[in-house]
Amino acid sequence: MGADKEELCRQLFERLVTTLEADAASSAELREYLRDCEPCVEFIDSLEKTLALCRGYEASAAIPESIASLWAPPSRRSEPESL
Amino acid sequence: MDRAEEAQLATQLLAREPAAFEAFARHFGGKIFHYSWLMCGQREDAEEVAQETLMRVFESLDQLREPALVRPWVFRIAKNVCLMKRRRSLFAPQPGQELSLDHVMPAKVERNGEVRLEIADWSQVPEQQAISAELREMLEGAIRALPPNYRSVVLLRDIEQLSTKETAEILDLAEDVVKQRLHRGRLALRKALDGQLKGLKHGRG
Repeated sequence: MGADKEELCRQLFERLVTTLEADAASSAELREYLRDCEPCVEFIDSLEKTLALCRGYEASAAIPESIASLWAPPSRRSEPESL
Repeated sequence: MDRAEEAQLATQLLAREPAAFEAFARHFGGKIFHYSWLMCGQREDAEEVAQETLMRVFESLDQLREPALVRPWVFRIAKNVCLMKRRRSLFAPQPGQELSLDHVMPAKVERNGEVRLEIADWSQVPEQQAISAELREMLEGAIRALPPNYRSVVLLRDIEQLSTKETAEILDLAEDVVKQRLHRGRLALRKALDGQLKGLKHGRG
């Protein structure tokens, strides 16, 4: 890959982020247009998967009971154990 | 719970329906806790932020004009509480770090005299289905590694899926600034995950 093409790819990548946000159809059109540029296709794939990971993210940490039961009826609220 | 269901819950809350309070605390308490946990990095701080935010939400319920906008309204309060907490904390925010394009673009590698952009094998990352615990931890680590001014935008836009306008209002930023930080933040996140995927491959031999 020549230096000019590489620079073009890098500039293109940043613009792609905006386009990917717009809609999936334009992303597919771009992929078709860029199919001969292997690093571009790999980059789009990895960026789309990054966004998919964020949008499908479900937190790993359990919600502390102190928050979950904050407005629960008193009988179900977690209280510190008395001595 | 989607935003329409949240709006319905907010309406019930404004009508002071007793059951709505617990449902609201469970749903938004969890959201705020995870947002604060990824912003502050400390579980104890996040727990306090979530509790304090819920208290403020219930105290100022009358200020919620549009139930449909309950999510951005709650996150605006959470952002302020989180900011105050971090100012008092040992983990006070550093001056805003900017990410340059060079920081977030794939690294260049030279093989056999040819320069290439180095991108990991992403085939192990699913496109749609639920992600593994390992990938989720990688994502959380990558989010925490973002500079705070980019992290807050990514969390609100891509995790909480608020609009650019709503995010700008919550963070007191211009929409153009939100867009720029979101773009750079996503690129930085992609690069961080890319690095971790390479490590995963090497680690497994």
